[in-house]
Amino acid sequence: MKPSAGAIGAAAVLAISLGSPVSGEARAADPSGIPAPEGAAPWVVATPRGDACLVTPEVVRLSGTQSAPGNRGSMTLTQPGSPFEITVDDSGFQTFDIEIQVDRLRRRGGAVYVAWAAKPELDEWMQLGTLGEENRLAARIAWNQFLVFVSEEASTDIERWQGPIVLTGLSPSGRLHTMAGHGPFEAMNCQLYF
Amino acid sequence: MARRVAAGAAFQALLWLTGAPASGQQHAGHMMATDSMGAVWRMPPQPIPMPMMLPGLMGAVPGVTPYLPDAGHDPAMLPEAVFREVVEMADGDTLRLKAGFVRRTIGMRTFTMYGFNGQYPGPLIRVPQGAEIIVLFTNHIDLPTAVHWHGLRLENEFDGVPGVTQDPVEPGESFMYRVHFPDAGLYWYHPHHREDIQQDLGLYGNMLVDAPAADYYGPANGEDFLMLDDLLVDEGGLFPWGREAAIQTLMGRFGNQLLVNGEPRWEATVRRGEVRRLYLTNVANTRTFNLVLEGAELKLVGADVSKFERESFVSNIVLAPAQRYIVDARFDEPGTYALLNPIQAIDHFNGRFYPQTDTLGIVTVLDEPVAEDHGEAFSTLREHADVIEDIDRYRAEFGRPIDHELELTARVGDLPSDIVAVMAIDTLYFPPVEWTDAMPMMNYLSTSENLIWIMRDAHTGKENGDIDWRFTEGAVRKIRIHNQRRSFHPMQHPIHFHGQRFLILSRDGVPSDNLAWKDTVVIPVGSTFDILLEASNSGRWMAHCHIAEHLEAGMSMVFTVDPG
Repeated sequence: MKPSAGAIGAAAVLAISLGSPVSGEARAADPSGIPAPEGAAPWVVATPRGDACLVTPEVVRLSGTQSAPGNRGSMTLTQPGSPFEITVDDSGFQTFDIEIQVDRLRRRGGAVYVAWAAKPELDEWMQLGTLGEENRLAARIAWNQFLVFVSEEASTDIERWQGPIVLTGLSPSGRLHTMAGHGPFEAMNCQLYF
Repeated sequence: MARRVAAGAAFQALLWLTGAPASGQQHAGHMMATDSMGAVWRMPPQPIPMPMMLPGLMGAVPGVTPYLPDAGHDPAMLPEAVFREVVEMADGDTLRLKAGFVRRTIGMRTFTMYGFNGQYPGPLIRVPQGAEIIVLFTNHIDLPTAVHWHGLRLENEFDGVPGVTQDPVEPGESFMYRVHFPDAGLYWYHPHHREDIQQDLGLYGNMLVDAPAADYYGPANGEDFLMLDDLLVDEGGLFPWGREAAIQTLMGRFGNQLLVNGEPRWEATVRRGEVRRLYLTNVANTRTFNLVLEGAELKLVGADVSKFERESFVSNIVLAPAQRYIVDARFDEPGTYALLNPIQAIDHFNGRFYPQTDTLGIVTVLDEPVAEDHGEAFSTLREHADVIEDIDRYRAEFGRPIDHELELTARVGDLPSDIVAVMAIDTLYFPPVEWTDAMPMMNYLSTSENLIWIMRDAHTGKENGDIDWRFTEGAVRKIRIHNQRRSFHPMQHPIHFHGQRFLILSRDGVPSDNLAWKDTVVIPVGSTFDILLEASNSGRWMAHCHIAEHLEAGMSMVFTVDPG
């Protein structure tokens, strides 16, 4: 099996764009002062200090598209309440409450802006709702990986998006890559969203 | 430097892609190293087809000696373990408890394992609330050990934690425990010394503490105790553990044979309309279960140390290691109902999720109706005034400032650098929960000597054994626990506080709306939980991650409750 040129490219993008704490602080001094075991290599400090103990929900960026380049927003994911500390459904899907906040949207007179979620294969999708005047929308979803996007429509009475896509983003699990790419949206620079 | 490491990892990843065998086979039997007793390192079984190992790491084995119990001896010479007995005890009674070798037959295969009193699981100890019993424990296994009485607010010196409350009980030696049962509910006992080995080999049992009130729970026609576990086996038998130190410390030891009460399949027969009370305990080293009883109605009644304020209907039950839940199930129609564990596993190599469902048991429902129909009571969700009143005494403290903060993270030592680099790429995404061993080769090479899991006091910077919290008996403290998303390999951690009880006040800032007293809270990756700890029991106590291999890799601390 030979990797495609796209896959190699994706790996290169990954490698160059990685500023991960693991690689970035390798072999740094251990701030806790705990010595490494005798004969062992120095500890690798894998964790930066500074973001400790804040409530830090996952937030992903929503970006404009080629047809609407200036738009931007974000999607915040939290887990809904549950008697258990882990919220999954009876198929094992993690359940998330998502809140879309659009910070900049060039609205066209008479248009409505509808938010959607779709699985990467585009074989299933759901309408999340319509962006109101406050450009904010909340919904619940229990999918593994999904795209979130906003389309510009003449009406909300539609089963599938028809107008242009004006904002788009990926679920955090969109970062789940193969070792050298990421499936059907291989050409997409997913780093853009995070 | 950073980019060189990452680029090297990407290059290694490409090598892996091009050089990896397309394989669906189990890679067991790839013998690599042995010890004098006959235990052998070989590649761990793979849950799904994936490359055996990074090409540059072929032949690598953990840097410790492989260990198997009583290796080299014929299991036929050992007594066959028998199914657990229920031991009903009264205040002042004495139980003799022996940890020893047993022969276990699981799925037509015979293994040398451990058992309490020759049973699997260990005896179910049933006592009235408020009782105190004496347990005369004797160690007849080949390792030092001790017995921890999980969840009980008992006297500190009998908590069974070597290095904190007692010395380990050496092979052939004995220890007397005085075990007090102040709270009604479901508990369990297990070793607290190399529990990655000893608990995995069958040393665990339940304790049920009955409340005096007959209607403490709603009515049920019967009850079942289910201890959920898994065991890692391959063509060579039990997969070895590390002798000097734990292996598989990265993700914990996931088994590939799921077990209920030590058996591959739980079976029960009930009558139509029956309400069964299920007492569920997760005794696995690291696996979190998502239980579904297909077709049955499920009502959640209680958790670790108490009932919930209010009963609720649920579709599934999520149990992390050491957690317990009490659930009523009703079977309306005749037929068979499967007990399932449906999860969304991750294939890190191919970068995808995939569904995985294991069948843990079958309930056969006869057409014959149950003699006493509790259907109406089952359909009514009870509010537990006793629990609400108990918690009412603490509600004024819910809004208190955070007293202590813990961050959960990891630090790597001399793990092979290729693994460290590849994981930097592979873990761009961290799922909230790891349900399976998604990277068995890397996990296999991690030990408690090359990886340290950390509980860090965010206020002082102290870590693990250096943390020195002190409380006065009767104090109530709010503790925030944050599981860092940005670490070497973030993973969920079930955090257990010994000898006390706590309430989960909020998750990621969202207040809990139905409380129960707990002793173990699982913190998904990236989450922040606020708990209210009632320091009600004096002594030096341990708090730790209940993933056995994470505990072995350092993830524990001690706190002191001074007499009030």
